[in-house]
Amino acid sequence: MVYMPALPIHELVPLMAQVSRGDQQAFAQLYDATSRKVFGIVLHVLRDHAQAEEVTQEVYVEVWRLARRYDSTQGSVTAWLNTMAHRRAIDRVRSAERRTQRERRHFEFQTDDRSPDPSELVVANDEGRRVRDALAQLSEGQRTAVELAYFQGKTQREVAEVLQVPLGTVKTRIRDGMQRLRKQLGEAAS
Amino acid sequence: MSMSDSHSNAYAYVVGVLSPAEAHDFERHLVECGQCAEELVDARTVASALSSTVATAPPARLRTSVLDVISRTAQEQLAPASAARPALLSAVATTAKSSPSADSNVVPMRRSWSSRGSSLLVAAAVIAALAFGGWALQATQEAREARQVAEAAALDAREARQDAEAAAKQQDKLTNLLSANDVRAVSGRSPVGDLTGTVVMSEQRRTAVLVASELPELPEGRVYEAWTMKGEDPTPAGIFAPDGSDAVVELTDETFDADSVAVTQEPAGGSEQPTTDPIFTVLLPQR
Ligand SMILES: [Zn+2]
Repeated sequence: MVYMPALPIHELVPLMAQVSRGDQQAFAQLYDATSRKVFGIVLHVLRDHAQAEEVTQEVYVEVWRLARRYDSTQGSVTAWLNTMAHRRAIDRVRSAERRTQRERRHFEFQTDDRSPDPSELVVANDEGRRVRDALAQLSEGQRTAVELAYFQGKTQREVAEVLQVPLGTVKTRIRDGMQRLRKQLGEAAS
Repeated sequence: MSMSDSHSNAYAYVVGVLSPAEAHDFERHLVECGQCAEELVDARTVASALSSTVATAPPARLRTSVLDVISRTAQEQLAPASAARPALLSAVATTAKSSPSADSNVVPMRRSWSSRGSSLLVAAAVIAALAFGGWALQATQEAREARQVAEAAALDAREARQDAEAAAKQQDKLTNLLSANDVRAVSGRSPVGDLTGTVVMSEQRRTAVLVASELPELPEGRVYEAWTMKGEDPTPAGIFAPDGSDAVVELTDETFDADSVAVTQEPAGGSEQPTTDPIFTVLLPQR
C-alpha cells in the first residue's frame, strides 16, 4: 500500500469541501493525510489494537457522514478530527472503566504503566518532535497533569490523587501547561 | 452554576477532565463568552499537536475497510430548513418553559439586556438543537428524518438538492450567528396564549433571526409578516407562512437600528404597512 505524503495543513480545508460533496477520492486523501494522528491518539488512549481500529473506523465514517458540518472558523481539519477521535476514545475508556469498577475497587490507583507498546511504531514526525521538546519544558506537575488527562483519559479526581493536589488545581495545571505549549509551538501548530 | 465556575474551562473541557455536568455547563457558557470560545479553538489546536507525539500508522486493512464502509454510507445532507425547524423550536420552547423566570441561571453581565431570564437559555437551546458547529459528534436524528421525509415524498432530486443547499446556507448562517462573540437573544411574549418570539442577533455578523413558536394557525390567504419598528414606524422585514406553529425568519439589516420587532397577520403577499395589530412584539435592547 502506497501512502501519499501528508498534505500541508491548509490544503485540508478544500479537501474537506470536496469530501462534503461526496468525493471518495478526496476522502481517501484526507485519510492518508490524517490517519496516523487519529489512529495514534486513539490507540494511545485505548491501549488495545482491535478497539483502536474499531474506533478509528467509527471516527472516519462519522467524518464522511458529517463532512458538511466542518466549520473552518472553529479550527483546522486535523483539530476537528482529533477532537472526535479523542472524545470517542475517552468515552470508550470511561464506559469500560465503569463496567469493571466493581472488580477494581480494592486496587489503589497507582502509577499506570502505559509505556509505549514496543510493537507499535510511533511515526517519527517533525511536529511530534517539536511538541515533545515543548512538553519537556513544562513543569513536572503541568506535564503529568496534561499527560494523565489527555493521553490516559484520567478524570479530574484521578489526576488530583496522583499529583496529590486539590481538585481545583488540576484544571489550573492543565490550562497553564497547555497555554505554555501553545506559546512554544506558536502559530504553526495544528 | 455561575459563570465563574465555567469560565476558563476550555482546556479542561478539551482534555476531558470535566464531569458531564461541568462539560454541559461549559457548553452553555460558550454561548455568551467569546473569550472561552476563542480559547476552545486554541485548546483544540494544542490537543491536536499533542496527538502528533503518538502518531502511529494504522494497518493497511483499516484503510481498505474504512474506504469500503464509506462507499456504502450516505452523507448527511443538511435537513431542509422547514423540516429542521420543529426540533429547533421544540428545544427552544422546552427551555423557555422549563427555565424559571427568575434570573438565577442568567449571567449578570447580560442581565440588563433582557427582562426575560430565559433568553440566553433559549439561544443556547437553539445552538443545541442545531447540533451546532462542525464539532457536534451526534448525528442529528432530525436531519435524518427530514431526509427520509424528503425521500418519501419523492421530491424531484434537483429540487431536493436546492432545498438542501438553501438549508445548508441557512444553517451556516445560523451557526455563524450563534458562534458570534456578541450573540444576543431577547424574547417577547404575546399577552395571550403561549406564543413567544425570540430575536437572536449579532452586530458583528450583521445577522438577526426571529424564532417564533406557538403561532396561531393562519386563515386561508393570510401570511405572517415581520416588521422592524423604529418608534411607531414599521419597515417590512419578511413574510412567512409556517407549516406548523413554529418559524425561523431571517430579519433585515434594519433590525440593528430598530427599537422592536413585531409580527402581524397580513394578506398573502404581505403589506407595505401593517393592516392588523401585532400578535407580539419583541423589544430590542437599547444600544
Ligand atoms: Zn468564559
